[in-house]
Amino acid sequence: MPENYIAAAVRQSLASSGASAASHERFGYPFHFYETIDSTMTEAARLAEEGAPTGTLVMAEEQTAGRGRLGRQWVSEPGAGLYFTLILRPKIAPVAAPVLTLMAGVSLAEAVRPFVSDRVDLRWPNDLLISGKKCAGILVEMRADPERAQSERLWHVLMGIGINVNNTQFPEGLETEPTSLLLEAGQPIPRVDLLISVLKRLEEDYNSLLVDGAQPMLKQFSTISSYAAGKRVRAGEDGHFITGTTAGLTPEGVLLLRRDDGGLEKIIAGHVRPL
Amino acid sequence: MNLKEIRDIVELITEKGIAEFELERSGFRIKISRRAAPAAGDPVFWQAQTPMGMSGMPSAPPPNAQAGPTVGAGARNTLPTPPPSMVPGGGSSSTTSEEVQTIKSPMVGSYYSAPAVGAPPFVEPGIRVRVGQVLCIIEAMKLMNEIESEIEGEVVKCYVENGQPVEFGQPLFDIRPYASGRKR
Repeated sequence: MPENYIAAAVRQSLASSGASAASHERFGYPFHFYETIDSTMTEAARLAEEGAPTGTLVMAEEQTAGRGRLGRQWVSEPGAGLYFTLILRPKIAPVAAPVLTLMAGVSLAEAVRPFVSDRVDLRWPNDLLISGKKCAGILVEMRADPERAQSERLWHVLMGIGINVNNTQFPEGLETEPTSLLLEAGQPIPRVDLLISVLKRLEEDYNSLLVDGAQPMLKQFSTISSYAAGKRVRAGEDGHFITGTTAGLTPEGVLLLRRDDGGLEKIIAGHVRPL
Repeated sequence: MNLKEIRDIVELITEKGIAEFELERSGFRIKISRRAAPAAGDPVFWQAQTPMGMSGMPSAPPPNAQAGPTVGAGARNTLPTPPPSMVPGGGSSSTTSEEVQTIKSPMVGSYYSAPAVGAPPFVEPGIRVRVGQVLCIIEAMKLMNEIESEIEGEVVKCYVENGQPVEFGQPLFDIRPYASGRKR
């Protein structure tokens, strides 16, 4: 059976976009493509358990059980968006790993920016918004490799990304109004070009993070994100909220929130929503 | 003493399985403890006056949170360098008098006992777990960290309720190793 045209195009673009595939830890190598799959996260987890290296890309044209955080459903309109998971094996301590979620948002925002004339925003920690509507979802999971974790600190991170590219159908009842690049740009966006651009940004930002630490990336986040400071928000989930004004990020990427009574909170989990 | 020397010491005490190490030189003192839970009075690394739980906020602050208004939290509290006992991706564990091993949280975050809202929990007391089996999820900044069991044994206690915030080093589970179970 001939390979799907988009898979062939991705392979060709990856091959021509830089160093040879034989070079170490290029994002997109090896490349696993599926016309239909339950979830790229599930398949990537399986591959990671088998020892798949950093940069391994698992992509699907359609996910029948695409998932978001805590088992929430991610609807993947077939052939319209980009749905993929990257396997990473960063040599950093797990406590330092959460900042990878912010990094993914920054990389995505920068890759998407040229297509939507600068209207990108990041809602902490990593919701990609265009004109206030959600355009992409990022799900990052991490797990140790119990066989080797003790001696080598080897473990893996699965970075799942779903981008509404040329999507026009969205499920009802989403908490944040969805959009797609097509709807925002007013024209179809070449998915392969966007994927290559996203992979390149992620690879650069990931390597910079490991070498230079998180501070340059967090500074960039704060430049992009209207939520990083001075925004009135409520934070929390399931009816438990606090309100206040965002007051910057800690060196770990944790959002600071100045309550109306003057107290300062660190927001580590739950949603942040505009007031 | 420079960073490399400290790193060397940490590697040495990890290698030798030393629980606590203290060194004093003129005007300088370093103390490294491999027991995960910080003692009272030690600097807390996470401070949230109103911890952000997912499905419910606790009525009382977590053990290491301080009472009173949180002022200047960003400057005072930084995430610590993990102690050498920390196992990547998995909680550290320690053995108590009854040979029960306590799995502790490797990071600050929200605790989830199940993979999805409304799903059955990963484990419960009485459940037998194998090495590498997922016990729970700790979420920090939307990074979902699946905590695995490092031992084969029976879960005898779950310390934390679903949705509650957890501190670094906070006990999560007690697991009684099977005789054939071994720490990997």
